[in-house]
Amino acid sequence: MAFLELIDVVKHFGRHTAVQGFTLSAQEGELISFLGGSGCGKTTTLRMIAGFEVPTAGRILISGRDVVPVAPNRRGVGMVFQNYALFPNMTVARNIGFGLRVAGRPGSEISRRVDEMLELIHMSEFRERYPHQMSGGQQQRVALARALAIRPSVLLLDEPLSALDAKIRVRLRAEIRAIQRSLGITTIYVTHDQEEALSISDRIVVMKDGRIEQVGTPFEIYNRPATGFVASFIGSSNALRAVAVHPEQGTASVDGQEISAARPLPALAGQEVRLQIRPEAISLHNGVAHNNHLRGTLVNVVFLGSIVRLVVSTGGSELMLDMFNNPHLALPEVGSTVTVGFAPEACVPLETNGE
Amino acid sequence: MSTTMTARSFAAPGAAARRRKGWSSLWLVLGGLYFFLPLLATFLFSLHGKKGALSFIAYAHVFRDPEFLHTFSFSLEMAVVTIAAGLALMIPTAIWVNLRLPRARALIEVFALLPFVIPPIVLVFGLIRMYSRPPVMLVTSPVLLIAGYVVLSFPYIFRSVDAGLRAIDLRVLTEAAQSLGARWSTTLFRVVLPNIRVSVLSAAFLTFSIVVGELTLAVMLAWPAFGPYMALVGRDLAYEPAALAVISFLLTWGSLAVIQLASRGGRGQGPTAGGVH
Amino acid sequence: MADIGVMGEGARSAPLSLRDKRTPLRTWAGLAPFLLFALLFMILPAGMLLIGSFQDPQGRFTFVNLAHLLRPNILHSYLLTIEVSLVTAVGGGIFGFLLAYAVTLGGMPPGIRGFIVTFSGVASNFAGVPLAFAFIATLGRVGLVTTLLKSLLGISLYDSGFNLYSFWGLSFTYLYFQLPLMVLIIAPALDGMRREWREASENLGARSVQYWRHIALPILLPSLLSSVVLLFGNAFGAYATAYALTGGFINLVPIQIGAQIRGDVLHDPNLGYALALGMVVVMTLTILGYTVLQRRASRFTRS
Repeated sequence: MAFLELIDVVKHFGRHTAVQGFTLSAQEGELISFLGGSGCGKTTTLRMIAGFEVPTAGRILISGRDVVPVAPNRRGVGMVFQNYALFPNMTVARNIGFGLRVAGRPGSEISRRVDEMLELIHMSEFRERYPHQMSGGQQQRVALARALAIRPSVLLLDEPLSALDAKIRVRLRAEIRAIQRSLGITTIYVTHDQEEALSISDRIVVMKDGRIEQVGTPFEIYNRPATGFVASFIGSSNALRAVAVHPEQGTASVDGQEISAARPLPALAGQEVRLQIRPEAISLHNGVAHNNHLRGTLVNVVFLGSIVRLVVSTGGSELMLDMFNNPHLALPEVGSTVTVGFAPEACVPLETNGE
Repeated sequence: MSTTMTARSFAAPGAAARRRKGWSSLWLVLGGLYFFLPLLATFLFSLHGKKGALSFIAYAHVFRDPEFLHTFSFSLEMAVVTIAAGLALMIPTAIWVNLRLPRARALIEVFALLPFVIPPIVLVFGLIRMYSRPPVMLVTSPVLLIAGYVVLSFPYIFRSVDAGLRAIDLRVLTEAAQSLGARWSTTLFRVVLPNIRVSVLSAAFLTFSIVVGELTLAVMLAWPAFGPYMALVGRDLAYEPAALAVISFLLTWGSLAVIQLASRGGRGQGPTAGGVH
Repeated sequence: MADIGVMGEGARSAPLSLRDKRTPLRTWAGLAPFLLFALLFMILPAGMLLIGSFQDPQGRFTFVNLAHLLRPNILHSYLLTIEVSLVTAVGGGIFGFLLAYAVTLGGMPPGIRGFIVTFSGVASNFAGVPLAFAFIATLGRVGLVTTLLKSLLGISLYDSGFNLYSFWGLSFTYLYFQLPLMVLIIAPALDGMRREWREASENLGARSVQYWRHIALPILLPSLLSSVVLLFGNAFGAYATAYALTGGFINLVPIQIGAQIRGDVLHDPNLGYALALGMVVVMTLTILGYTVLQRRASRFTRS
């Protein structure tokens, strides 16, 4: 049985629909990210789980119990806020111990638990510091410890890293993931950063306009996007202009060269379609067997460090392809004619109505 | 997503928010009663000048009283001179502190607190003691009254002008003006002042609302000002004082409304709290 | 000495650039008009009172005036002034806080907040003679509310012990400028209360009472106290309202000083100076307390 379940959850703010038909079940110990742009309903959904918003309709179950009528302070759900929200009048130790203190636990137990938590986040020497004496990253680790100290059944993280520097962000997200794994706590992680979601999650829920676009593992989301939105939202990609030839068989023509996709095209024969292909799924044709080939002119080479990005023009469209950098890399000259290849599976038709 | 939605949802969720809203409404209603009942009652009371019917006769009496015109125009004059003198003294000082002598800010701020430490009644006592005997006899000159008013209004003028100066990048502005060949006076009148006009205006109207009805200094220095006039009317008449209170309230409201409107239009500060009671 | 001439020349065409070197003295000279004014009309007059309160009528040094401050009637007027200031500061503080809370965090529409803040700006400046008149017209012996209560509900305010011209009447009138002043100075502190603190505390299992006890009040306490201290000083120095309301028959220190100025009612001018000095001392303590508390209040917001 799922540990955390949301069934047909709906939230209206006045006439505005923030969340619509949200259904999801999370297994115990799973880390699920809600990913989407601003206004997609991800934070609202999280706040409904925490109890700060009341769903207009639908049910939210934690280990089988409907928590919608339960007040936020009785839910036993730990939450970490975007801007830390540490209590400025309390030391680190008092912040972490707050949940136990208001629950009336004995001082010795609180103190033990605080020590345990400080050790977990490797901040034992910060015990008596005040929030304003710490960096953002340190504050957020304390906030995490505070949320975990009450042994919550579910941990909610609301864009916990978005206020931090890029470097600390990467380090802290690994730390969060490690702690989450070691405690085996069911976690919902809200973010607008796809790289963060891909790197940290067991599963990702991609949201748009209050609806779920796709639920899947990072691998599935990235490689087999269910909708055009997911395909274009995640990662960088080419959107190739083509004309459908046999839509039901997935074949289309790009500037007169025929290619095929692994699934039917959402268009009639002769109509224009857009095909999404990831830059790293395309390779320079050097003997590797591919079903799809395109000839074009190499118009630019962009050096990105570990990756070299080639831009190839097929006449009407431009195509980016990524290659790993290595010191012996021999690249064709800019202006020369090249052939590129990719598998039909890499070629995802985009919805015509969408972007 | 947060900004728009959560702002709205602030009022929406749960019983706690409803309770909060309930209490808030109660305090608002009680506060409203306390603030508006006296205003309403004063206004209605002022209409009772004629027996048995509501009329504006009390207002007519006030406006027809030559003393009213006399004292009011005197106070108006004092206000205008105070504003001019206060601004002339404080604007250069504030600019100097911001531009040349940031170290002196602490000192000026202490001075800005002094009129609070020395209440008007004490201030006027000191002024009388100092200037009612040789070498400097000022007690019969309006200079002393105006100087006192400048002291009273100076914290408000300084804070207002200073906030305005801090809101603009004074240093860059003046350097730019000078690099283009402007002189000191040109820089001051064509560059700096236009940019802090909202603050200056706000300081002026605040000073106006303090000076026009001021009682303590005027009464002690024995000037026929509007404040002492009102006090006198209050001693002898019943309905006219209420009319005067309504007029005063409208004056205060009017001058602060001008500040509000002006500060909405441009950058700068809203009205500063507190007056001279 | 030689550079005095240079100084005078430079002052006429002083460029505004920061880069050129000048003597500190000359820079300070820019403040001379203001400092001179402050000296002549603020510092020296106050200093005269200070000196006068340590002199006997013949100009000899003495502590007698300060000792005379302990005379029963003078001590009484200090205590009464402190009482009025304390009552109106605490009362205005509490109700002003509640009102400010209602319009900042209470979930009221934003329009109401704007109105209340603007109105507070006006009301905190609406003091002195007109304020006294307004309360006389409302709650005086023939005031509108007084007569209405009598004719409609049969309640006689004055028979039941209320008197506008007494301690409580005066305090009730002072509240009219104290309360809005509190709203104006505490609203920014309430704006600084982040919604996430409340949510985090709820999330950790705290009840509303626990949130207030452990988080909101400790954070707000320095701001609250400093505001109340400021309100105290605001009432302590007030003269016009009391004078106009009671016609000078209430024994407040400012009223005493006023009477002393108008005619030597204490029969000892130097005692009058001591009276004023006492007031300055109380106000100085008030301001010091306010400054210290303000600094504490900003402790949490500093990062």
